[in-house]
Amino acid sequence: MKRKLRLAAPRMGTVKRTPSALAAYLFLAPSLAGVTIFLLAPFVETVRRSFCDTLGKNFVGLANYRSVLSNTAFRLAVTNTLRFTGVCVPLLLLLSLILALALRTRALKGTHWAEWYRTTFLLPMAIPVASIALLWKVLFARTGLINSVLGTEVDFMGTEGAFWVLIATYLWKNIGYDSILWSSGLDAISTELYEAAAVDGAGPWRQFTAITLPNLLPTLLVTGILSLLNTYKVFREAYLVAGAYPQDSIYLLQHLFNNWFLALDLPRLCAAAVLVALVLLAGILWLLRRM
Amino acid sequence: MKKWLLLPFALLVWGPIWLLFAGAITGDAELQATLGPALTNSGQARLVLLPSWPTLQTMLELLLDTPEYFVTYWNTCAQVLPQVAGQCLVGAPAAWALSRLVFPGRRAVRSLYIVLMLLPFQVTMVPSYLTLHALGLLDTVWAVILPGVFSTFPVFLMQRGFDAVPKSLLEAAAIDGAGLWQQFFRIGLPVGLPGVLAAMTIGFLDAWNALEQPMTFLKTPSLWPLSLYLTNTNGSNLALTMAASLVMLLPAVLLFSFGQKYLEQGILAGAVKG
Amino acid sequence: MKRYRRTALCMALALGLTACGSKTAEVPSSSATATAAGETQMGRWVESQLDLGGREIAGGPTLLDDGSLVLYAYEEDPNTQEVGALTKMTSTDNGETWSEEDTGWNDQVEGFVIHVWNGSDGTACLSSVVLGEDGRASNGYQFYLQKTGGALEPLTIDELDSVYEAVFYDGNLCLFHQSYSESGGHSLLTNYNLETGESQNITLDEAVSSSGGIQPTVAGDKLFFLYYAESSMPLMELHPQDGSCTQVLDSLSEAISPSALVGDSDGALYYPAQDGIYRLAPGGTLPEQVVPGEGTALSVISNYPTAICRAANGDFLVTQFGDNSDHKIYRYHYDETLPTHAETTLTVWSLQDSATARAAINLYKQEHPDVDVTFTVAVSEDVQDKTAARNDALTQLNTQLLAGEGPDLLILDGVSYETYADKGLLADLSDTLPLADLEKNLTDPFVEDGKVYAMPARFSVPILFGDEGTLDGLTDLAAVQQAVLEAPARPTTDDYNPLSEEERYAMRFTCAEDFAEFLLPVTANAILQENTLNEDALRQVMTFVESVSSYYDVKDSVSDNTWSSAQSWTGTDVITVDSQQAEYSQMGRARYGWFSMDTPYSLLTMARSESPQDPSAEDVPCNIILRPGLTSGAYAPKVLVSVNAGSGHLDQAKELAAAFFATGVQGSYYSDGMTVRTDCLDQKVQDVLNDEHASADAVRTDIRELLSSCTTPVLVPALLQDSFLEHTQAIIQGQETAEDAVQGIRGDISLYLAEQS
Repeated sequence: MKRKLRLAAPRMGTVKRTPSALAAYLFLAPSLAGVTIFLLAPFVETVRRSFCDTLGKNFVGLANYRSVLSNTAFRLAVTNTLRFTGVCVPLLLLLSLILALALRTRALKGTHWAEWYRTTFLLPMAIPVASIALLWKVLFARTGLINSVLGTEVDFMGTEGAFWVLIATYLWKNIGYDSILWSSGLDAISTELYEAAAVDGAGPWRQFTAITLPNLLPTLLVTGILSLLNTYKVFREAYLVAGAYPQDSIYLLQHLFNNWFLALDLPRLCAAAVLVALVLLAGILWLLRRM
Repeated sequence: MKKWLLLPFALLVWGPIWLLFAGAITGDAELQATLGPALTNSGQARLVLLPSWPTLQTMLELLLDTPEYFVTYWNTCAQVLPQVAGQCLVGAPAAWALSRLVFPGRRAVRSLYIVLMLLPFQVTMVPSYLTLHALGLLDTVWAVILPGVFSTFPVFLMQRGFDAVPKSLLEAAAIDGAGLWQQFFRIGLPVGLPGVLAAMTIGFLDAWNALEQPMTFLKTPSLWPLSLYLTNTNGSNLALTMAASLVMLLPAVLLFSFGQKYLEQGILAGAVKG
Repeated sequence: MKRYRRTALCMALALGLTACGSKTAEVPSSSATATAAGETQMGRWVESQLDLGGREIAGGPTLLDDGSLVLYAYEEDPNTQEVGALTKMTSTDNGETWSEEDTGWNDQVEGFVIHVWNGSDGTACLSSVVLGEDGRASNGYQFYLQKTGGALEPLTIDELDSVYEAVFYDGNLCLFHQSYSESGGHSLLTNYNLETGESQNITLDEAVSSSGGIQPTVAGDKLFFLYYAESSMPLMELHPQDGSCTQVLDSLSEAISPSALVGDSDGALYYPAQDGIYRLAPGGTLPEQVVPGEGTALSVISNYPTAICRAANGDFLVTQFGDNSDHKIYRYHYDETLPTHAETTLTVWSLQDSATARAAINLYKQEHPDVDVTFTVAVSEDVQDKTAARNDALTQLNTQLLAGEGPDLLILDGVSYETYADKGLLADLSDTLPLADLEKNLTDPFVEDGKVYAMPARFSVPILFGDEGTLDGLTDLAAVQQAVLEAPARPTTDDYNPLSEEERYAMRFTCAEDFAEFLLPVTANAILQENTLNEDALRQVMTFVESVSSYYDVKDSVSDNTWSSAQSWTGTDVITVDSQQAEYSQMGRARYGWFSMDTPYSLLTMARSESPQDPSAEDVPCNIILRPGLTSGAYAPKVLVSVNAGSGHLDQAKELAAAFFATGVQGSYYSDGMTVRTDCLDQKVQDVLNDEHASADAVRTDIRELLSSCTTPVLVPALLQDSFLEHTQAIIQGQETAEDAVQGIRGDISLYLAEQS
């Protein structure tokens, strides 16, 4: 179906590749140079340090990696991070898709209401981290507003509840932005397709599953990656509210990194970071290949 | 009817913002009595929608009496605006290259950029520190600006925007004799502008709220941005913190109002509209 | 419509930004010196101390109209309390050299002159006192006036005996006195016209006078004063004609002392603060720093400025009261022949401020004027969330250290020094520190294989004391617990009346902090050993908390936990007594007192009286023991000095570290612990035992032996402290049992321990 839409412009003959490649490098040059100096070089240094001792001078081989993999705190952090990401990212994608669809229903589409809703849901993203931490404390403390309004005495931050509070904050912050991403993806799907399907007798649900979903896959990739990136930002709020050693269920990889750094455990920090990077790299490559 | 279905959820957003606003116009003493217990874990916080004694004193105190606030505000602007401008200048060509141009190693660079984008800060903190120190940039605004300018996240976002530029258009232009730069400047940028603006908006937000970089690379407190100032005043004067949060929120909200249109058109990965 | 609204908001933002830009020009940079930093390289403020020859100050320094400075001092024999002649010291070169002459006044007055106030023309107003046998004024104070070139004449005005301050202003002598009545204190002002001799009494403003007396100063043609308000120090202008006051500033930033304020003929005001001397322009609102305090006596937090004087050329003389109960006068002179910045700068880093560190820095700077030393306090006093601030500060420090640089000298209080030492980040100090001069029992635990990576420059000892003979059975925590439970329970409300022997309870515990202060310094090592949690030890501790808190009903306890008093006599250290000690020593309500001993002078206030209401009653003999806990010989090391192995100025940094242990620093007291030098400690104990003002005879324990029995340093990790406080509070409130608390603490710490493994 996609192919029908492409204008059948014939591929031009093989244009000279070499100058194009050179030009491309020129376009890329400033960015690549900066990235190399400020991002790549430090990362390479991190990789190097993962094989050395604290001061980065003596080579110790894979000892750090072994130590990291057998460390219980690391395992807990990894489990929690996977659990958190595994729950919140799909949840966010789903909820924001629903929101995007809701804003496109006949009742709302194109109205001022829709625009107002969009702005509303975008606002949480603009609120500074320290303010969110403050609001969090005010709302979720044992003596906080939520408990006082509901008349309960739930200790949110001291129990498993903390996990759900974290997820709620993440969803609250990102739902607006993700729904915009979905919106643009939805906008890109030509209405002609829907009209043709309606003519063929497909109902709304069938239209959804056969047209909308497949065409949203590229958007899914982008939104997914961006949502993943935003899970990191949740750390700072969690840190400001629950400190360096929060309740077990929200003890994430970044907490571990932060504490290892405070304990001057740089070699293991670097080893763990390299492991995380490897996993991410594998994931990205797999995803890109599928696209 | 359907319009109001989403209203409760909208309240979830406006509620906390209202709290901030109400807090900013409440006197500190009253705020300590109503919301303070939540922070000190004794007593019970009370929800008060409007302060009993509203006062503009806190806002005035913030805007007129707190020189540190202005200094940090100015620092934030001085650190964020160059960053965003730089991201655009440096990132747009790079995104164009990765999106529309073909060259060996394209996939490698793309993957590299994505991986680098996904690394948390602590991972490269010490080596970055060393690099900045070697360049003599530590404790200057450039320590925050330059790494931000070369961040690969905007490149990623802009890429998506440029993906919307139809190849046919470029090929037509090429036939007409436009060079690669012309194609980029005359066609790519205008068509892909929503993507670029979306990237700039997100870049602005990220830089506006950045915490780790200023804290690690800026030693002198007189260089600190607003995000650090807020963290450090938390609790001592509750009303002031809320007022400060509100004011810090403002530019971002304004930006949203303006850029929303473009944000919505934003990132497209796909085909030409019918 | 929307577009206009948005444009308007945008313009407002832009205006706001430009306003910021212009405002930044007004904001003074608090860290830069006001002297020409970028333009010239010459000129620096130099501090020197005036040699008073051990004399007490009676008045001044004051600047006279002819540009000379005058100062009055007298000698007091500490043993006989006889007072020598009153000497007038005059300087015509702005304080550099002084000439002396005997005023002869002590022969002309009743008793001896205790205070002198000068007008700018040289007129002097004196107060004299006759001391009775008990050392108190027996006959009130007499006042005299001497005009320039005239004779000393008595000043007779009604109700003069409560005058505490005199200011020459506008042809009048303004005498400020305090009167006490049932409704509180009133400040009264008597304007005595120097020409006519007429006097006029005026009552001062209520709100101000209740602050306990004001000390105004003349600036230009106005009178200003400072006073302590609740959380600020307002600057007020006084109108002596009618006694009214107007507020000039609602808080003079950084000002410390209401008496340390001086004005000049233009109406500008100067005052000392911890980070230097500030100037407030006439009619201005933002003071600017004129003398940087870094590395001077001003920066030592245990110094309290009591007076300031400005010389004709802009030099300053500041009188400061130190914790050795002495007044010293420091002169600050701007020397243009010295370069502004020294060749080398050393940085010292510490989580909190440290008076000993500042004193050591000052000593080092005096010996090495070509080296600048900056002292960075990482976590400032007024930060609310200390844990987050501490973590941020450590992150910054670690980044620098791991990058191979960072501060040269580190004060590792509140930080786990072993982590830094183990990773090779600290330099070996064994070759520069005078280890042989230090107390071996205190230093041995810090010497590993002959190498020293961190050494405490001060220490304090957790002790328990009570009537002689009653401490014999208290050998461990269980015994203490039993003793507490066997004695009567402590009443939940504070009271100051003594109890009979049968009614007396064991000791004071009123809140979670009390338990933490009592238990952690003597059990922390047993609880956390080698990165593992010893649950049995923890259980013992929490059981103690549970049984005592329920026995005492600590939950219902209503107590003023900030109660503390400071005492000192001439030449002694300032002795702080707080309620845990006072309930035994002063009030006779508890059987035992406890605190952490910071100075051997505490011995003087330790024994209790047989009958507290009766001043002539005998002291009851008492014993002191090291507080029983789970570690024997426990003591708290303080001011842990270490040097960054990656420092660019390693030798100089090591010398600076050695300065911490020099006699000049170790011999003085700064309220942050006892000296670790053997000779200084010996001397201090001798001084205590021979002190004239009070007697330590009732203390039947050999304090020197006790101090030598401290063998185990105990450092309480912040994580343990926080978790302990939280769970102790829960036990007190009845929300947790001891076992719950043990599991709770174990849970809190387990993550930390897991990370270390």
